[in-house]
Amino acid sequence: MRPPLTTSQIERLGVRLVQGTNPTAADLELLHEVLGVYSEVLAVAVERVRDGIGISPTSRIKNTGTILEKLHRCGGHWLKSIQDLAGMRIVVRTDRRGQDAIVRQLVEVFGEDPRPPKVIDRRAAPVHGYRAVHVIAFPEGVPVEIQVRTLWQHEWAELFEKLADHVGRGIRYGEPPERWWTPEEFHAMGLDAQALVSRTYEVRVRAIETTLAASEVVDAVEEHEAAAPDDVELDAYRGSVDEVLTALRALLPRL
Amino acid sequence: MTDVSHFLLVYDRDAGALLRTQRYDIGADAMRARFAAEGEFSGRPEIEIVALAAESEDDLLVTHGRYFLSLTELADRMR
Repeated sequence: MRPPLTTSQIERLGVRLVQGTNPTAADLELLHEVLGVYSEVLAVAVERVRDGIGISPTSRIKNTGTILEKLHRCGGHWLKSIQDLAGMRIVVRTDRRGQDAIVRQLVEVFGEDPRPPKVIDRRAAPVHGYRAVHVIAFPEGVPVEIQVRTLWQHEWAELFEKLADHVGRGIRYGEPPERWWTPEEFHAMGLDAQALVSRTYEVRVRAIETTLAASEVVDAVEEHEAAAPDDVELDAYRGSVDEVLTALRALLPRL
Repeated sequence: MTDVSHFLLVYDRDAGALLRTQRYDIGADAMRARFAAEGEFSGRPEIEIVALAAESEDDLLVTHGRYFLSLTELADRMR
């Protein structure tokens, strides 16, 4: 199965998609054709994972809104090199040793393809708090990103993504929460209203900081758990994650 | 091929809530429905339209809970 466009055609499509205010119907149609091919390759890759390691991942083709958002952020040329248009997600209900074992198995499943899989360890190099291990496989030459997450890594990622829905999606890229007023509107407010929006904004900043802190604590506990699984202090360490989350829960009603 | 279901979700980020969930037996049908929904909600950047494949809706609740659960519920889930 071959993509309906060459790499350079996909690159040019990406550039056109972010020119002007809205993509043309013809370019969206072309993008849909590309996504359709990715979807077929992904379905077969999911079967290989299921047959190869007995795990049934969920899968998705990246949604068009997020593709366009990322093209605007990274530049249209990025479309040709995007590696997560097609993706699977596996949540591992063991510790990091189990996570590593699944990653090794996935590398084996896709190891015979002409282009070998690539492993990206975002535990060692987290992105704005996000930790996981990603395996990029290349079935039929098409990149398929397989996210392998421990339960904590996964639940943190979903929590942060949902927080981004509330306070602004830029936080996923390290940006501050969005302001919902302009400087002119702020100056036109009374002092009480100014104080109220300032306090609410500060709560949002603290909620982001606290969520990021939770990721750090999870990382430390998971690392220790993998290194010393029999440590009698582990339960106490795990409790430290809940302490941070308790602080976060107290902030959420005030967002 | 094993039994996989395909789900079209239409999610409102601002409201933090699902507007629509539809189930399909065939992935291509879900993708077609996704593209149609993208046309329907064109110009609404707060609307996220996604087609997901999973063995069950319960699996989706685990791996894509953000679409189904509130921020508080997600924080409570993480223990």
